[in-house]
Amino acid sequence: MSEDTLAITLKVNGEEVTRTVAVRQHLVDFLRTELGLTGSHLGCEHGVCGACSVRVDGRVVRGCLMLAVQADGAEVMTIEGLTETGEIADLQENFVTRNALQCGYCTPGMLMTIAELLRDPKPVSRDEIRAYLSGNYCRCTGYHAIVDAVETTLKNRLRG
Amino acid sequence: MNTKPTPTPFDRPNSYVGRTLSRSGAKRAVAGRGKYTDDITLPRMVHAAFVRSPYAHAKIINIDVSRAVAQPGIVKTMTGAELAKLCTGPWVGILSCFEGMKSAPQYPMAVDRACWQGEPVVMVVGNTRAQAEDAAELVEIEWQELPATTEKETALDPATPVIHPDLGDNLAFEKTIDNGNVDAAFEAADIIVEDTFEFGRHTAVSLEPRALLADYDPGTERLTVHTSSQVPHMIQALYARTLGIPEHNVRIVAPDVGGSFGLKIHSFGDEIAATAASMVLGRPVKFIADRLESFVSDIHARENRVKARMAVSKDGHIQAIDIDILAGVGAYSQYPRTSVFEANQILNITGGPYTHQHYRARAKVVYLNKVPTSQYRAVGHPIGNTVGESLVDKAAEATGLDPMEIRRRNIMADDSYPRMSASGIQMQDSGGPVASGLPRGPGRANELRRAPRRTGFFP
Repeated sequence: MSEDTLAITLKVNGEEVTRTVAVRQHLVDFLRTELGLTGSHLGCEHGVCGACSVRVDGRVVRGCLMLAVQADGAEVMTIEGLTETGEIADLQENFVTRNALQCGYCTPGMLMTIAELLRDPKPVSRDEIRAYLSGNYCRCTGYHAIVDAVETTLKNRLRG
Repeated sequence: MNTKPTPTPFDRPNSYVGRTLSRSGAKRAVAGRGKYTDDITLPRMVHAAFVRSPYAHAKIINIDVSRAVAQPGIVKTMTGAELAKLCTGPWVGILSCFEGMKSAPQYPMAVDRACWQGEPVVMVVGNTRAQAEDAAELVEIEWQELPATTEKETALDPATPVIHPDLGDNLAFEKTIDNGNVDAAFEAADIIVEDTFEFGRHTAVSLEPRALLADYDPGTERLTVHTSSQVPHMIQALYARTLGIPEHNVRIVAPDVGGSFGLKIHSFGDEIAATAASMVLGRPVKFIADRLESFVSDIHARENRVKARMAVSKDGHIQAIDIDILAGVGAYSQYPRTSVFEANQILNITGGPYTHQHYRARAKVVYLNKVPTSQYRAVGHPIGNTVGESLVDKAAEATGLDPMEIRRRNIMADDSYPRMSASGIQMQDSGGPVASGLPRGPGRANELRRAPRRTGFFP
């Protein structure tokens, strides 16, 4: 069986890219294998664990539940791009300081999700932070420290 | 006179105790610059996918890969029988420290018979994982289903099919610890509490699945394996031995590991198969387990039934513990660490911190047509502690004592170490003020449960 392909043009981390992709290829596979952006990870490949979370046109999506061809014309932001813009530098620093990670595999997806929460910062409880992160699994069970890091970042931004 | 107080370990300037320290590698991880096995790409790399047994127990009558090999991008298929010829011999998952244990010889993929649902049967290697998976769906296997042994309670009954007839029965291992005079203690007991505990299977579910990229260079006859592993040195010896390569020609690279919890200290047939494919093809072969195949190919753990009873005096002193463990493991004992460590740990640790002298523990470990089991997170401890502490809670209820108070009456004194446990384990120290740290006073246990703290015995 020959693979159906389609040419797509999209903006990834601010740079325009054009590629011919297999129509069945998932967005996260495209980012990882075609563009070498390996910061987005695959944990379950069926939309449960959140390790592949990326931002598409301003919203966090599961990179494993979206096809690359669906991102034609879209603006995609991955952990690599988000890091370069400095948008979550404070959050990343708090993750490191608070040790809000163990193996680090879930971390980029966590950060992508939290970035959405931080964009329009308002006071939220720890329970609300946990609910917001409920779609991102950490199997090393580091949630407590993660909530600490998010809470600190949020407080500082609101004070800022 | 020196009036300076003696510094505790907490006061040392270089002490890590009580401090938050950053992990090395954390900065890379938060920037998305971690390097996990699947992040590595090598020139001419191809991808392996596996056809796995859909049956718990079935004979392989015929395998037809002709349609699969004709698919675009497919560079290799390999059956279990073909792979066996590339191996120096089968694995046998036994250790001499477990006297009398037995296990059947096991090849990395099923040769003429599959013994659990998920056992790898045929490997398909393609230019992309998607192509390999497509072709794997076209491998035709003719099966003859065999009766499956799946219940540990009946695994040793004469009517139950023996999974490996050469072993004589489905018993992997049995062991009894019998210290003191348990029968006399129960006869003389004021109160006996008892219960039966059932523990279902767990599996590790590391967020990064098992992952391997094997790269054999026929020019230098050297094998480099990038793999998500906790035990690169063990894997080095094991791959060398299994595939017949001098150990000094095998290099294992364990990059960032996305969680393991014991999963990645074992050997897995599909990983050997992918490595063998790299040797045959002379090019890099990547195998990344997907989530669904992880559930049927990663080791499982915890399937145990424990019948337990405790003899206790009216004033709450534990006199004896008697437990009977039945562990249901997979179709083979997992090579090389075996599938019997868990039951052995339960034997050793149940009732651990208490001062009773009479202790009997029997374990039987039986083979089932299920995914092999082995060490996983705190091997056996959750089971031993659940059983022991549940009995203590029952004893508290039966004697009318506060759960904390009954523990205080039975716990080993902090100054009694080094000492022996009732199971015969040499205990070096308590690791801190355990006995003296137990809160005193009536109702303290329930009070603490109502107001949980972040640390302590009952968080």
